Amino acid sequence: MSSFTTKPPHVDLNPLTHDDFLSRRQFLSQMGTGLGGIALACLLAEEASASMQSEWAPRQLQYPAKAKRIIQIFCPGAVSQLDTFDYKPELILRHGQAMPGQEKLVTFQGGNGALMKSPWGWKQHGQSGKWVSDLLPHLAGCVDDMAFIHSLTAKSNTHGPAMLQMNTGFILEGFPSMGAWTTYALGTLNKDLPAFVAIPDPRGMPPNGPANWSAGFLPATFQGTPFSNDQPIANLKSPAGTDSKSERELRQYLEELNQDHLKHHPGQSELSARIGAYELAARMQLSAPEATDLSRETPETLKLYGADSSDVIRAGYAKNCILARRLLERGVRFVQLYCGAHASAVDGNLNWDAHKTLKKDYERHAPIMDQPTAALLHDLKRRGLLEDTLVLWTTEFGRMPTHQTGSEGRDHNPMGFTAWMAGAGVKSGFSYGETDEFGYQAVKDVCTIYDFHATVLRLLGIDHKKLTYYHNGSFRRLTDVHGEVITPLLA
Amino acid sequence: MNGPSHYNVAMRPGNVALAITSTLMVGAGFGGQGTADKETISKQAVAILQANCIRCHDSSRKTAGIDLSTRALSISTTALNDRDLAKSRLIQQVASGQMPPTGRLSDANIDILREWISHGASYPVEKLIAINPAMMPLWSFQPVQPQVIRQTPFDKLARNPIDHFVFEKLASSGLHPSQPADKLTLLRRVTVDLTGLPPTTQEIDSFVKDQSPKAYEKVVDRLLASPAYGERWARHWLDVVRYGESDGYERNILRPNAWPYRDYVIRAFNQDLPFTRFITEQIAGDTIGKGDPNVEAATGFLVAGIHDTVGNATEEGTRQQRISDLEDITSTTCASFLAITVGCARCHDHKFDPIPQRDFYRLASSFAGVHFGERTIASGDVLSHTLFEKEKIASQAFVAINSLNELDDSARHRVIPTPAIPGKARSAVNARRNVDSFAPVVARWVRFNVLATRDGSEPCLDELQVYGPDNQKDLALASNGAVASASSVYPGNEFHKINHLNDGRLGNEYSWISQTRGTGWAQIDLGKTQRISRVVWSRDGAEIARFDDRLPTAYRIEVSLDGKTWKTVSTEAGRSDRAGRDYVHPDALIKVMNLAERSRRVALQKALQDLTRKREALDAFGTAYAGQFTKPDPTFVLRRGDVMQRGEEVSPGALSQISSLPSNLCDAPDAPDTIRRQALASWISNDKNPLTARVIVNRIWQYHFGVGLVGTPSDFGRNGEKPSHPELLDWLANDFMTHGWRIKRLQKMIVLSYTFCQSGAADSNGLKLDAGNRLLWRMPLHRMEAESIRDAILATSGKLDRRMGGPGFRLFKYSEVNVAIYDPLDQYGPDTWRRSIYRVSARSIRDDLLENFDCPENAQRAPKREMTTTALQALSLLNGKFLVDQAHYFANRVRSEAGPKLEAQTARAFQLAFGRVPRPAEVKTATNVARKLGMPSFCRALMNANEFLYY
Repeated sequence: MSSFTTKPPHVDLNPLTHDDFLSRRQFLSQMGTGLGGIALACLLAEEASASMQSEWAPRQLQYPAKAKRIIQIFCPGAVSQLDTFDYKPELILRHGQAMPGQEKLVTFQGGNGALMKSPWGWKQHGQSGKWVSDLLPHLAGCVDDMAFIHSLTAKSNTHGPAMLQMNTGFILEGFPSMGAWTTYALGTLNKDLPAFVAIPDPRGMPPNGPANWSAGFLPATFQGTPFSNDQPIANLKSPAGTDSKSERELRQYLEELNQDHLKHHPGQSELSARIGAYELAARMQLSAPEATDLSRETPETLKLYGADSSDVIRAGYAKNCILARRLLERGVRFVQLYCGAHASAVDGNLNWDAHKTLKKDYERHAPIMDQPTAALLHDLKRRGLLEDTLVLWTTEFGRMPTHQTGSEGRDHNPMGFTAWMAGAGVKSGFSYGETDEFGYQAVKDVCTIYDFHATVLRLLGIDHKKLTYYHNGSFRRLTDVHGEVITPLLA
Repeated sequence: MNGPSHYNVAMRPGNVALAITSTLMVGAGFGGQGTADKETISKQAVAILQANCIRCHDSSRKTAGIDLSTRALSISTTALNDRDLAKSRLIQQVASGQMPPTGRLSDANIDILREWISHGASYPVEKLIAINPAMMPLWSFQPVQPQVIRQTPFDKLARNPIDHFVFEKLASSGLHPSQPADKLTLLRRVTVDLTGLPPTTQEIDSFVKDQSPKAYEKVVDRLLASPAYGERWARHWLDVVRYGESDGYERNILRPNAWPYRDYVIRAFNQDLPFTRFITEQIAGDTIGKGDPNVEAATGFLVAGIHDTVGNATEEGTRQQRISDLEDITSTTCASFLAITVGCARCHDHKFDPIPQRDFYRLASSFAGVHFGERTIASGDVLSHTLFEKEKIASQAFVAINSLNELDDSARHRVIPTPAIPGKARSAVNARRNVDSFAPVVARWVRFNVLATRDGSEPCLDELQVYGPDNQKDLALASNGAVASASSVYPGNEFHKINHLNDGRLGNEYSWISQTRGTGWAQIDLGKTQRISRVVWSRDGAEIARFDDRLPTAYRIEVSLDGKTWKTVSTEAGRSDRAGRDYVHPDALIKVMNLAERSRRVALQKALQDLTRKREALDAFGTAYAGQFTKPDPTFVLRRGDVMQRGEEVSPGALSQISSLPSNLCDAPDAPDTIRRQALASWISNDKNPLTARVIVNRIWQYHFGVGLVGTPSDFGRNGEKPSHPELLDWLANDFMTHGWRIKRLQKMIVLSYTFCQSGAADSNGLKLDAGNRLLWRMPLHRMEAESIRDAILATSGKLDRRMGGPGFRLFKYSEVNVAIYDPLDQYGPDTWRRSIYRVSARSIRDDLLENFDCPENAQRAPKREMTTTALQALSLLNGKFLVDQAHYFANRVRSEAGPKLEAQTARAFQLAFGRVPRPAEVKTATNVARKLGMPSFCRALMNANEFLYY
């Protein structure tokens, strides 16, 4: 079939960049419309649909897949590692003293004062004896399920580009996010919901907005669909003044028009693909409201998450956590869940960017995140979902062990920060990598975000070097030209 | 060795590659049969080693201990067996397919190697060395070749040379062209293609009736001359150059005057600017069109991309931002005009194409004086005229908004009756408008002395207005000769200035803030003594007021004749203490207004809107987001692309591996910015540049046929596709250059070709041999692009607003609180009914309909759009507010144009949506559906139909 002529060409000179593992998807996406288009439009009922011709069937993954689906919790604004999970006794001891070399240190907003210990105490938790700050009592109870990475480093010290890097691998806008890559590689697990969903925080959109769940240059099919309890998917409701019967009749008539048109234009498969798209849309209209309907949840579950809280933001994030679980249960492949919103007139007001008043800010943000996130882990586990669901907890970079000149907050620090994983294929009760004695700079087992992404793909069964898409002259990867799998993290 | 002299030249990789590759091509032509002499066989064999083996088996790498670089080394490392050459490992490995690892060589090549060995395996070169394959000659870097038009079996059908080239490929592949398309199909195709809008029913009628042989050509001429043509084709170019109207990243602030570039591109297409001129204006319009805003706007090209405006205190961060900006400008220029991907050479030599790392920095150096931002693009004369106009508009707006505030104020007093508390009979202070009246007094100075603010923060005032008993004009206005001063001013903020106190502009952006918490005074020198009796003051009096912090709650208004002794004329005494809490929603205000007040309010709002539109147009006329230019900083090659590792300093240059043109642009590393950019522009637009004409001709072709002759329109490198019709590409490029680089001429030839005018009917032979239609044996239907769908919906409903140019319309509500906040609209008013190209394309906030139909987000260049089919598209067309509204208008239109009979209405709807009347079998169903579901639902179905969306 010479449709292949629109396929990215094979490059003889460097066989490594060509990736026939994904040629099916490349073929489908390049076809754009037609059977391919509709298959990509998340019509596949099963991962390896028997109805697909064998030549389009997905090739073997490079590794056995541990994770089938992912939930990525993202805390925008840069969560301080020093007030949450990265315990540094030396920082407490030398509180108020100068950090060696600090006088020359210029960070994002300028100069730095003395070392500043966390305003919260620290205790050891679980069988693993992990130190966690008193800021997060509920999550502290989950440490035996978590694998921490304390030695992450980011390429940018600015929220916008750094968030893009954590989500897309690049500090520039316009690249596909991890969720888009995942669904591009693996397709969907359901037939009537999007494969990739983003749930923004009740306080508003994250920095960069939809660029965080963009499909970049991948076909629009792979973009994240924003979801909330109020409005599951845009344009889901039929127009005012119509009812389901009249809408059914309207779609029936539309199908007649399209079938008739198709008869006059044989040999154009995209025309029939569009007919299929309307059928799928009708199914989505039925299933998406069901997915967001929390009234089916037991009072015990609502309480577990804290969805009964009188604080609307806390209850809002708790409901988002329940929604995330319901979507995962219904076969959504990748959920991005935000805890924190965009910047506001005051730093640290709506997200974790505590430049000036760390204590006050985190006393507001931490309780919003703590209980619901812990409940989500617990709930996934008791339902058996944690077996093949990978949970990621991420932020864009860390914060300084010193206080910012003239304030009681911490400036940006991309030199060392913490993220954790839990669930499918990941060691539990495990910590990897270290920052220095003050928690400033990653010094042991230093990791990049590329490494983090390579590890995530590995858990999905994918070799990060083989997941490519041709765009503007390069076979692009989530990991650019970098990335090493953090194998010690794998169970 | 005694080979021909050109093999004995110095072993510079480039030379060897050239010589050997040409030999290889010759070799392939021979087919490996024994007709060649010994010497030729040696050359061919060594070329095969060079291309397939030497990368690993050279003297430096010696993989597996094997070194093939000379005959002697091949023997000593056991690749060749000099006792029995035929049993050499080399030939065994190659014949068995174990080597090379990239796949078994062709039988012909293996035969050549066998024959070479049988002749003694002699090397016609001194030593083979590994060549960077990226430095091998690239087809697109070779000069455009003259082409001959050859005969084909289908020549009778051919209408111009394009057809000959297409037919030649069809014939050699066993294909044949399709029948001509029917007239209706053809008209719809060419109209959407050239203008992005469907043909009107009148246009259809007149074309169908016109039986003259020139009927189609007349249509094409009409379409190319239509202003809609520029609106359609400018959209394609804006995709190519990643044009967006906000900064992107975290702050993502709007660029309210980026649109002059968009208008420039529309104009350039409509005026059919020679493409070379178009190139030069976009790269150096500030120099070649100095002071002419219509040309200067063109440099919007340079800065149409994303730009991080978050400041960074670190040196590394600052450098990183700058190099990202430069990479964006450099890569976009090279991708758009030359279809090369120089960005890949930022950290190292390009892995695939002949672009050394140094070339990237030399190119970037051409832009080292370019910075993101806006600049004045009009000359002094033009500017002073617009300044005068702007002042006029500002004073009209001031009067209008004052009247509006007064009207609302009086309504608010009715909604919140003044409390009957003794001593608190006056209304509370509020952010929008406060009046302090007093007995007439003669004064030269008026002072507003703040004693406390609502929240304890530094007080803010956006305007102090002073009126006399006649109440006619604001005596405090700077334009009336008054001068403002203040106790202090909030430092380091661009919005808050003392002269804003009496500039006749309301709103936070035009306000003053004191530097002291809770206190501060502002004063007006009226210029002469005046009789005054009223002070009107506000904190945020803008039409859409957003701020009510910093509001003065305790104050003293004092007057003076000499500026020394002051007399208090009014204070907050008697005001209710509900300071700032008296906000009333406009809907509630309107409720208590009488009819006259309401209509006056509507009129005032309309007037304000018109004035705002006028002002925005003028604002951007003077200044545009078209880049700022400074003396260039030195440019260094960065080791591994690391901003902290500076290497050699470079001067501006172009691609070093294009041999038809010198790559040195300026000798001096300190050449002025304007010279650098002009030099690069002339290098790109030179007739000898092998890329430029090919690239634009290919882009134009792609937008007509869906796929370019080169399928990767911004990548003519080795990762890109090779041309499907290389001869046609070169013929078009030559023809284009010879005829003055005119795009309309090229397009006329394309759409008049038989190839373009074919039917889309399927044919089993064609489907079998070329289902993807790469060889163009038919013209299948295309789905309209996102903007065309939206425009076609508006055209069909009758609501399309054809006003061209100027500030765009927004599909979002916008506010800034440190970062920009965008909320998608839930209502689409008439100001959004213009063509989609006039939509403000802010980054990262996208419209459901456009986004779902693959409209790119403009953060990265989009030389080619995806064409997906998804359920979300169906939802946005079936249920989206925009389409539901328009279906409603469509129904109204049909009813008013077709009269009361339902059959006539449905027939008319078919005509407007599909360009045809319903077939007899369709009439009954259509009428039944319209009767049962109502005309709006019926119209909604038509606008969702494939027949509507495809052309």
